[in-house]
Parts: sequence; C-alpha cells; structure tokens
Amino acid sequence: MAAFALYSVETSKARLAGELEVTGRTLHRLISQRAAQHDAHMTSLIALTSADPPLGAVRQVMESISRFYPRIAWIALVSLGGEDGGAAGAKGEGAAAGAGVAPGAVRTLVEVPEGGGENLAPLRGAIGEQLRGKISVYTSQNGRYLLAKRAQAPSDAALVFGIDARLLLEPEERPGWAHLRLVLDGQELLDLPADEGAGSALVTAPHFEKVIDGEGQRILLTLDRALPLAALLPPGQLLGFAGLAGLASFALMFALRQRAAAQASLQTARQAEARALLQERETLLAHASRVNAMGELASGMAHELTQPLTAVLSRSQAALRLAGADKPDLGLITQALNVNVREAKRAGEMLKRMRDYASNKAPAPVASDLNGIVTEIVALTSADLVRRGIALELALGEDRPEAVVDPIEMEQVLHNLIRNAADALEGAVGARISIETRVLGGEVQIVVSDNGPGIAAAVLPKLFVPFFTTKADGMGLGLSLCQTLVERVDGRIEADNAAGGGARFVITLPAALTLKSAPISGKHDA
Amino acid sequence: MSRYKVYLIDDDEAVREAIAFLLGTYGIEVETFGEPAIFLAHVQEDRPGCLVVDLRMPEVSGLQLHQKLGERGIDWPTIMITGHGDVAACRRAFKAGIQDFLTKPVDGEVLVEALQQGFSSLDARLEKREARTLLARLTEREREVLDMVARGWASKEVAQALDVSVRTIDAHRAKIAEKLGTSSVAEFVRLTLLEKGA
Repeated sequence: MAAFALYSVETSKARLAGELEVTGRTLHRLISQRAAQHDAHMTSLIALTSADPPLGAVRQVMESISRFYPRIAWIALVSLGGEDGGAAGAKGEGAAAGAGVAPGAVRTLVEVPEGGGENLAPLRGAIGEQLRGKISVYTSQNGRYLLAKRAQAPSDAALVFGIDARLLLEPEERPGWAHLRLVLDGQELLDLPADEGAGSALVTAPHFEKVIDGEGQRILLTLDRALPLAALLPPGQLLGFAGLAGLASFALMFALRQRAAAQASLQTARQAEARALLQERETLLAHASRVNAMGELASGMAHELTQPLTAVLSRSQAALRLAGADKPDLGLITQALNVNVREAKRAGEMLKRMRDYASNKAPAPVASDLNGIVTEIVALTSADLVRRGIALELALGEDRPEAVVDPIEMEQVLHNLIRNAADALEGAVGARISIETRVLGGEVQIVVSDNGPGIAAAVLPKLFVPFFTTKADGMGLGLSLCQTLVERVDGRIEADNAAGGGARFVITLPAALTLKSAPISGKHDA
Repeated sequence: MSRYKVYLIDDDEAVREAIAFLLGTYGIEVETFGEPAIFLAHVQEDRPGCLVVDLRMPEVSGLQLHQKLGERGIDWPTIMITGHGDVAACRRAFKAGIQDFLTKPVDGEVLVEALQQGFSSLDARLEKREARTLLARLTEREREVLDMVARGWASKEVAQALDVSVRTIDAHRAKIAEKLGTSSVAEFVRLTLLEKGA
C-alpha cells in the first residue's frame, strides 16, 4: 500500500512536470508566432517607408496595424538625425552610451497613437548601431518592450514598435496553476504568479524555460509549477502506516485533481490558440499583403501618375503655344485639350482605385458580375503588363457569371494571381496571361493561366502555405491570402499546370442565385 | 527649325506623343522610340541629334542606353528625364556625362532650353571631331610643320628649325593646304585649338 502510494506520488510528479513541459511549449509557440507577426509588420512597414510615400499613408497603415493588434501599443517612425548614428557603428569601440553620437533628440516623424511615446533618446546610439535589416529589442517601462529596425541605407530613419507584454497572451491562454514570467535582460516584462491554492510555492520543482523565437531572441519565457506540498513530504518514520496511507491517497487525489485542472487549462489554451491562429492568420495575411501591396503601389503610383501628368503638362504647354500663334490652329488645340481631359480622368480613376484598394474596408459580399471584376483589374494592371511586354488575353463568359463576393477582395485575389504570373513570365518571349470566366452548372469559375515555366511539382503542394515562397523578396503570403479570401466566400482555388505548359489557377465560386435584382447580403463565416 | 533632330526614347506612349507635340511647336523635329533596343537598331552615326531618354525603362535603362551608345562612339548630348527625383541616379547620370537631368513632369521651356544647350554642345563636338579627322590625315612631318606655322613661324624659320630647305617646307605646306582644304594660318590655329577641345 505504502509502496503503491509512493509510486503514485512519484509518477504524478513526473506527469505534472511533463504537463508543464507541454504547456510551456504551447505558450512558447504562441508567443513566438506573435513575435513573428511583429517582425512581419516591421518588415512591411519598412518596405513601405522606403518607397518614400507621404507620411499620411504611412500613418494609415500604422493605424490599421494598431487596430488589429492591441498589443502593439505604439508604432513610430523616427529620424535618428544625420549619419552620426552609422558613424558610431563604424567606430565600434565607442559603443558605450553611443560615444560617436552627437547629443540630439530623436525626431518623431509619425507615431500611432499620438504622444503614446517612449523616450528614445537614451537608445539613439544603440539603435543607430543596429545592423540594417535586423530587429533589436530593448526594455522599456510598464511591462512594455521596444522593437527597433532601421530603414534601408542611406535613410537615417528607424521604425519602433512598443509591445505590451501583458497582451502577448489572452487571459484564457494563461495557465492559472503555474507561475509565468517573461524576462528581457533580467527585467521582468510579465510576471503572472500562479493562482492561490494551486500549491505551495516553497519549493517549486518542475521548471520550464525557453527563449522566444524572433524579437532579437532575447526574451525568456519561464514557467514554474508549484507542487502540492503533499507530494513533497518525505515518508517519515513519524507517520504511521495508516497516516502514511491516508496521506498518500490524499496526495494522489490532489495530484489527479491538479492534473485534471492542468489538462483543462491546457485544452483551453489549445482551443484559444487554434481560434486565435485562425483569426489572426486571416487578418495578418489580409493585412500584410495589403501593406506589402501598398508599398509596391506607393512606388508604382509615383510612376503611374507621373506619366499622365507629364503628358498633360506637355500637351497643355503645346496648346498654349499654338493658341499664341498668329493663326491659331483651333482644331489642333481642341484635339490636344480633349486628349488632356481623357488623360486627367484616367489618372483620377487610377487614384480612386488605389484608394479603394488600400482602404481597410470590411468585406461586403454582394452578388457581383465577375466579368466586371476582371475588367476592373485588367484596367489596373494592363499598363504594367504592357510595359513588361506581356500580352493579356480575355475570354469572358457571355452568360454573365455572377457570384457573391466582395469585389475589392476578388480584385485583390486576381491582382495577386496576375502579378505572380507576370513575375514568372519575366523576360520570356511571347509572354501571355489569359483570364477566362465561365459558368459551370451551379458554379462560376475564373481561370488565370500563363505560358510561363509552370509550377514545379515539388512546389505545387506547398503553394498555398503561408510564408512559403520561391521569390527572393517574397513574404509567401500572396497565394495564402488568395485562398483565405476565396474560401471566405465559400469558394475554392486550385493550381495546376496547363496541358500546354504554364501555370493555371482556377477559382471556383458558387453561382449567385438567379434573383439578380435582390442583393444578397451577409458574411459567410467559415 | 532646329539644326538637329531630337531622339525621344520613353516607354510611355502618351508621354512620347505629348512631348513630341510640344517640341513640334518649337519647330524641333522629333523621332520617338518606345524602347532603347529599337533606337539602338535604328540609330545612324551620320545623323547626329540630341537624345531625350527616360531613365527608368524595362530591360534597358536610360543610363545603360547611354553607355551602349558610348561604346559605339556615339556621344550625342543626352537629357535624362525621370519620374523619380532620385539624387543618386542624378549623380550617376552626370558622372556618365549626361547633358542634363530633368524630373517629370518636364516643363516645356526647361526642356527646350536644355535642348538648345545640347545643340550647341553638339555643334562643338562635331567641329572637334571634324578637326581631328582632318588633322589625322597629315603625316608626322606635315603635322610638325603645321604646329610651327600655327605658332606664327614663317616658312624660313620652320626650314631652319627642321634643317631642310624652304622649298621642302613650301611643298609640305601645299600638301597641308590640300588635305585641310585651307591655306589660312588662322584656320590652322582654329583647327589645332578645336582638336585640343577648347
């Protein structure tokens, strides 16, 4: 009996330690995933700022990030002021207090929220010495820590995130039976003692610790389990057999109850993780892709708008000169002005589309004409394709394929597919992208195919996996986002290689009901 | 009417058409090309002109085009236009010997002024080249004689310095006059100065 009791206590102890390990790993993964999101957002934002967009646009993106992620408590783009930051880095030795850095304030260019800031002056030297492209982490006040990343050379700007460590975990994800800590450079970012009654903290036996991936790899997660006192009592001579047996059975019962509690909390954590993952994956993907696309758009916008502007200016000046001539050629002048009007309208439409595209509107699925959506995206991308020497073939179904989708999101899906195809076709002779729409029974399809090299067999299965990419500068979110968006409206997207070579993406959506006059509303939750 | 043509290379059709239209009102003849490769295939060394080139084009950039032309000995004045007021690109362009660097949208007057300067510069370059071609026809001895004459020496002094007869020098001078198409000492001076790139 005694032997059995002791054995039980020991195995319970081992089991408890095992559970701590499992919970620790789960929490570590959760926090690491969130850290990776911070990294991703920093990367996208830095990419955006390198295109030198107006600060208002940067602020807009920052605001939507902070709306989606309350734990990112502060986002700021700052100027470290001059090249001295880099000079200090080159000197190396002067690292202490950033010796090479002239005294001066860190200038805030944009911040969200306004005035929610941190004093970066003491960190100026350290941030200035950071390797560009790397993220460093610094301690701060009130449970916050800071992430900093420098912009591309020669910019002296840096991006800083203030992360609220308390919000790294949702309340239901915290294990109440263990003492959880997040430590950065000896400073506690988060200290959540175990709930009362979870056991004695006199001797804490099982211990878990692991450094969080990302965030400069310097945040340490520790988890300590307070063992029930009973499990630790040595079988003393003082206790009689009965007492011992009683104590042992009590310990066993206690251990089992603890275990049940631990399992329940582990299960809660897992459920929360799955839920959070699903939800965050969607928002992260939708957003990261938008942010990325915006960075691209911002630099593309300069080019796209400069061209019509140049043409309009030159033609206006020419018309003015013609008007000032002895015998003004009214026909020629009118013709020039007509072209100008058309050109200016085109530029305005381009801007409008970009605004629609960049704004963070909630998806609004409505019965939409897929041909119209294709036509829209073709208008947006055709200039770029022409410049890249890629022909575009359209085969739009005459039977007006309709589906319940958010037109902007569907445009985004098509934009991603077209961009991928164009990248694959880079430099090819006779490059061609085809877009086809059709009705197939109760379903409608959009097929985007190209005559490029196609998709390697090894790549096909991983095509829609987030962060999987074959592009050197890709984030691997494009197709994954496409899938999310298509599946959100009950559709599916498949990729294969066409019989004649080249990649083919098929989007299949349920056809909208024939009641075309009645808009179909309501979001389709997965 | 301008003395020279303008070759406009820009990948945007609207921009090409509008700038050509504008320059046309100044009486400047423009030939447009949608991509550098077409221009490279078409360009003829004996039809010099000024180039107006978009810095950013797919495949071959404006600077690469400038370099390729240079390799073929075509050093016509080039005006870069770009939608991105990029300081680094501007510096590289000037280092490569670009005539001017303008940002889009380009003001007509600024462009025409840059082109006028380009035309003058082209004049100078062509004269210099002509001088070099002419002078290259001379033999070493004739060149020696020419340099002395251009310095204001009389035939007798040249003969003494070279330790030959005056008649030999006169024979050289006749040959020089025939090759250069002039017997004017002033012209000799101008040609030798042009050759040095004054």
